[in-house]
Amino acid sequence: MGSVLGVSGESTLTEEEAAALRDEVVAELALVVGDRWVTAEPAILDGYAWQYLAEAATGERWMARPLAVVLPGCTEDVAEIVRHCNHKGIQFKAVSTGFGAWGAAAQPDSMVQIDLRRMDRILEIDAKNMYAVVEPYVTGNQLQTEAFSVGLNTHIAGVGGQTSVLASATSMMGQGWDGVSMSFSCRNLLGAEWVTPEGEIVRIGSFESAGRWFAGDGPGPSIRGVFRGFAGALGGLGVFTKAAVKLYPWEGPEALEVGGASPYYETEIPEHHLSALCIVDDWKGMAELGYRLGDAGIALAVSRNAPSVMGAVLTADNNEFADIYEVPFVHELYYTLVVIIQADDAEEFAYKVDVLKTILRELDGGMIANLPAHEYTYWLGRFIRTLSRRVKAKGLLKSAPGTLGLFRTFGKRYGYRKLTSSMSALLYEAVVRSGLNMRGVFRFGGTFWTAMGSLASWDNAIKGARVGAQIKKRYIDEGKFFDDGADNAWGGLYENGAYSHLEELACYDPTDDDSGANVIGYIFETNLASAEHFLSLPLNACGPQASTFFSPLCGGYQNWQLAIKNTYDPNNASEGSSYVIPDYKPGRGLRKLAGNVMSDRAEIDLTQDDL
Amino acid sequence: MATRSETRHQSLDDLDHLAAKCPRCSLCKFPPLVAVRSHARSSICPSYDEYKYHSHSGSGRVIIANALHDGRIDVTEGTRDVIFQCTMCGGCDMSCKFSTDIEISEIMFALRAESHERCGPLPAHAQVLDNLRGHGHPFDATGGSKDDWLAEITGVRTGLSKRVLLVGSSYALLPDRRRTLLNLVRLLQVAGVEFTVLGADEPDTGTMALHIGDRDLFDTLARDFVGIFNTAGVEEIVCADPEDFATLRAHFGKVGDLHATVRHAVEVLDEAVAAGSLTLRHRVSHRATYHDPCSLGRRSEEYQAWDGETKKIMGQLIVTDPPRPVNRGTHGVYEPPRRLLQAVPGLELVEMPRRREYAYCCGGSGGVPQAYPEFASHTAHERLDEAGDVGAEIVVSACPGCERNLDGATDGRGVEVLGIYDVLAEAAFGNRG
Ligand SMILES: Cc1cc2nc3c(=O)[nH]c(=O)nc-3n(C[C@H](O)[C@H](O)[C@H](O)COP(=O)(O)OP(=O)(O)OC[C@H]3O[C@@H](n4cnc5c(N)ncnc54)[C@H](O)[C@@H]3O)c2cc1C
Ligand code: SF4
Ligand code: SF4
Repeated sequence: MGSVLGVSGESTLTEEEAAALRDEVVAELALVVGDRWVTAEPAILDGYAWQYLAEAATGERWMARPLAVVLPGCTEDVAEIVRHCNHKGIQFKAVSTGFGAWGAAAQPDSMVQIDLRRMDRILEIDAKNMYAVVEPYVTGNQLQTEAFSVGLNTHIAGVGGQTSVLASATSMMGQGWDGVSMSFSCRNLLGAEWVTPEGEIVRIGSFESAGRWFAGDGPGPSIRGVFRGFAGALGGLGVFTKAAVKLYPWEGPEALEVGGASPYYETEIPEHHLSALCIVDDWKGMAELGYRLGDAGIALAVSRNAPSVMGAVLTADNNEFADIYEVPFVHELYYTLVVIIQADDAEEFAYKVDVLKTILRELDGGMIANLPAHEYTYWLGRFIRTLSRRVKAKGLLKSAPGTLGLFRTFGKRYGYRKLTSSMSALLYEAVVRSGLNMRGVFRFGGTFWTAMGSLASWDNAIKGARVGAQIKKRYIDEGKFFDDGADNAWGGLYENGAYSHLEELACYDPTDDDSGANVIGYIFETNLASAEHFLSLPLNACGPQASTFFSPLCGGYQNWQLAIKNTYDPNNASEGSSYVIPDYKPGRGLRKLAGNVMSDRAEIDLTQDDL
Repeated sequence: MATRSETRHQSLDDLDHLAAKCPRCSLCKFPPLVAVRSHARSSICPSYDEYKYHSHSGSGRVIIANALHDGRIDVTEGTRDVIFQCTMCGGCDMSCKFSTDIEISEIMFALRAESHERCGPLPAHAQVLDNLRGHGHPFDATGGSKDDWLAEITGVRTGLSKRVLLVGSSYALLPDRRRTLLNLVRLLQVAGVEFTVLGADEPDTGTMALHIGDRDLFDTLARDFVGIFNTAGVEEIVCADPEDFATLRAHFGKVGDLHATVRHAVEVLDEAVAAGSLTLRHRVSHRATYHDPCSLGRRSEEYQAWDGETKKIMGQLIVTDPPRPVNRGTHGVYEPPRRLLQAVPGLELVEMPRRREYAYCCGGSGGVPQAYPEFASHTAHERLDEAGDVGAEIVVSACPGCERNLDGATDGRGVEVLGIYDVLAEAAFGNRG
C-alpha cells in the first residue's frame, strides 16, 4: 500500500547519515534533559509512530518514526530543545497524550518528538475565579476529578477524559458532550504559556492586576486567534507548556459514587441530577427539541448519539451488541437526545425537570429517566408511544421477542428493579465522565473516523448529518464501513444552543488493505458536500491536503495560516504536516483520488426524511 | 473470516489480530475513568509511571508486538528492557478491556516468550531459571529446603491427599515470610480444615518461568505438576501464595488438564469464619487498608479456552462465533479478604482509591524485583503513599511478594505491612506468632 495523502515521504538521509544524526541529537539533548529522558531506541520510537488513523495518512498503520523522543521536565527544557532544533535545522513536534496521527512525524528521521508527559501538574484551581492552570499532561478526567471536589467542573472533549486538557484548548478544536453548559475547548482557553517555534517563552492572555489569567484575548488583535485560530495548529506552531482554562459550576457531590464492576460500572446519579434519554418523532422534532433546550438553559449536557453508539455503550462486546441491535426498538432510536440536568436544590431541580417535561409534551415526545416510579412509568409510556409511531405494528411485533430477551439479559445483570435506572446511570457516566467513548466507536470494526461536524446552527448541523449519512450509505452498501443504518451522527449544542455540531462517524476495520483509501474518499466527499450545501467549514478541512482544495471555497483561510506560519516560524522548525506546509503541492495519489470522488459521488436528496 | 484456537499458549502471530486493534487511546494508563478518585492516584501503570515513555505502557508493549510482527524492530537489549520493565500486573489489560477485547496480558506473555526465544533471558533472570531447572524452585539452593518450616510447627500431615495446601516456594523458603506461613497453618488447623502439605516434594508451579518467558521450562514444570496431582487424585488445592493461585487458574489450562479445584487460602478461611469454625475474638485496634495482590485479583480469573471464528457481519462489525469469553478482572478474589478483615474486632478497614480490579500494583512481580529493583521499590513507595492518603496504620496484603516489596519501602513512614494471615492470627490467638 502506498501513501494516500503523500505526507509520509522517504527519508532524505542515507541510513548512515540518519544514524549519525540520531546519535548527535540524543547526545546533545541529553545535556538538556539528562540521559534518561531522551532516546532513539527503535522500540521506544515506534511507540510514537503507531498511530490512530495512520492508515488514512500513509496507507499503513504506522506514521514515520521520529529521529528521537525527548521528555522535557519544564518550560525552560522545552525552550532549549526548540532552540536546539532550530539551530540544527531539524523539526520538532509536541504531543501531550498523543492520540491521533496528527501528533506524529510525517517524514522519517526529520523531527524530534517532544513528549510532554513529565509535565503533569495541576498548577492551580482558582475556585473563586473559576479557572484552572494546567500543564500539558493533565487529562480532562484528572482535572474534572479535582474540580468536583471544589464544586466545579471542566469541559471534556469528546475524544475522552484520558486526553490532555491543554492539547484540545491550545491546539485542536474541542467538541464535547457537555458543550451546552461548558462551551468548547478553544473558547475556554483563558491564557497560555507558549514556547514559540523559535524558542521564545511567551505568556498569552490578559491578566488582572494580580497577574492572574483573566481573559483569552488581550487588547488588540487576538494572539489566541493567531496561534490557534478555530482548529488549532496541531503542533505546527511551537509548544504550549501551560494553559489556563475556564471552569464551570458543578452542582453535585465532591466525588461520584461508583458501584458494580467492569464492564458494567454504575455511577450513582446524585440527588438533583437527571439523566434522560429523550425522544421525538423526526429530524424536525429534533431541531425543535435542541433549540428549546438551548433557550431554556436547563441542561448540563445535551448529546445526540446514534442508536448504534448507545447500543455499544450499553453492552460489553460486539456479540452482545449485535443481539440487541437486531431489535427494532433499539436500532430505530434515531431521534433521541441524552439530556443531563444538574441542580443545587430540590426547587431548582423541580423547575428544570418541569421545563423539560413541558418541552417534551409540546413535541409529543417521551423520555426514559431516573424519575420517581409513577412519573417514570408515565414518561416511559410516552417514550414507547413515540417510538411505536416509527416502528409501527409490524416493528412492534418483530421487536417483542428481542425486547423480552433484552429485558432478561439486562434484568439478570442489573436486577429487574434496577434495570432502567441502570441504563440512565450508564448514560450519565458516559456523558458526565466521558469514560465510555471508546466502546462507542472503536469496538465495532477496530477504528473509525468522522466527517462533517461544522460549527453551525442546530438545524444546519442536522442537515449536515443527513448529508453525511447519505454519502456514507454508499460506502456501507459496498461493505466498506460498518452498517450503522448510515446515521451515526454524534454531537450536540454549545453555549445554550448559540451554536452546535453533528459529525458523521464511520466505523471500519483498519487492517483491511484499502481502508485508508476508503476513509480518505469519505472525508473528501463529505468536505465537498459541506461546501456545496453551505454547511460551513467541516472538521476535516484542516491540514495542507484538505486546505488546498477547500481553502479557496472558504475564504482562503490557508493563506492566513501560511502568513502566520512564515512569520512565527521562519525556519519551519515546528513540524506542521497537519497544519500548513509552506510550498505544499498535493501529490499524484491525492489528485487522483480527488478526481475520482468528483466524478462519482452520492446524490444528495434532502426532500424527505431519510431514516 | 478466520478460524482461531485459543486452547494453548498464544504466539505473537496468533494475537496479531487483537494487537492490531490498538488505536493508542491511552486508557490502559488509567483505572477505568469512571473510577478515578484523585489526580494523584489516577495512574494504573507502574511501568509508565517509572519510565514515562509511551512504550512503557500496556499500549506501548502492544505496539512493540506490532513492530516485531511487521519486522520493524529486532529484540535488541533495548527492546528487551522495555518488554521486561513491567510488573505484569494486568492493570492495563483490565482497563483496556473495560472497552475492548484486546488481550494485552496475553500479548505481553507472548512478547516475553518471543524475546526469550530470540535472545534469551536478562542476566538477572538467567539465575532464576537455572535455579528452577536445577533444584525446582526459583531461589538460591543455599537458602534451605522447602520442608524446613515444618520443624517449627506440629501436627501438619505431609504427603498427597484429597486437599493439599500448596505452600509455594516463597513462603517455604524466604525466612522473612516464615511467620506468616506458620500463622496460616495455625489458622487452618484451628478451623479444623483437613489438609496435607508436600514439604520438600512440593513441585513449583513455574510462575517465574512463565513470567520470564521460558515457555519450555514452564510447560515442563506445569505438566509435571499436573501429573503428580492428577495421579494422586487430589481434589482441592489450597494455595497460600496467590502467584501460584493465578498461575494454576489462569495459565495451567494452556498446558494440561488439572483435575483439582484450585482455591486460595483466604477463601477457605472466609468460609471457616462464616461457618463459625474460626473465631476472631481478639481486638486488633488499627486503621488498616487492604492491598489487593494483582495475582489474587484481576490476574486470577480462570482460563477459558476458546476455539472458534472471527467474522464480520453488518459490513465491518467483528464478532466471534461462538462468542469468545473475555476475562476482565471482575472475577478475582476481592470479597473474602475484605470480609475477613471486617470480621476482625477493632479493625477499621479503609479503602484506597485504587482497589479491587483496578488496584495499583506493589511492584513486586513479573521478575521486576530481580531485574529492576529500583523500579520495584519506587512502585512500592507509590502504593504506600496511597495508603498514607487514607490514613492507614497498617497495610494488609495476602501475597508474600507484595508483603515483601511493600515492607522494603516503609522506611520511617510509621506504617506497618502485614500479611493477612498475621492479622487473622492476632485476632484468633491474641498474637502474631
Ligand atoms: C478517537 C478520537 C476522537 C476524537 N474526538 C474528538 C472530539 O470529539 N472532539 C474534539 O474536539 N476532538 C476530538 N478528537 C481530536 C482530539 O481533540 C485531539 O486528538 C485531542 O486533543 C487529543 O488529545 P491528546 O492529548 O491526545 O492530544 P495530542 O495527540 O497530544 O495532540 C493533539 C495535537 O495537538 C498538538 N499538541 C499537543 N500538545 C501540544 C502542546 N503542548 N503544544 C503544541 N502542540 C501540541 C499535537 O502535535 C497534535 O497535533 C478526537 C481524536 C481522536 C483520536
Ligand atoms: S492497549 Fe487498549 S487501552 Fe491501551 S491504547 Fe491500546 S486500545 Fe487503548
Ligand atoms: S502489566 Fe502493569 S506495569 Fe505492565 S504495562 Fe500493564 S499496567 Fe503497566
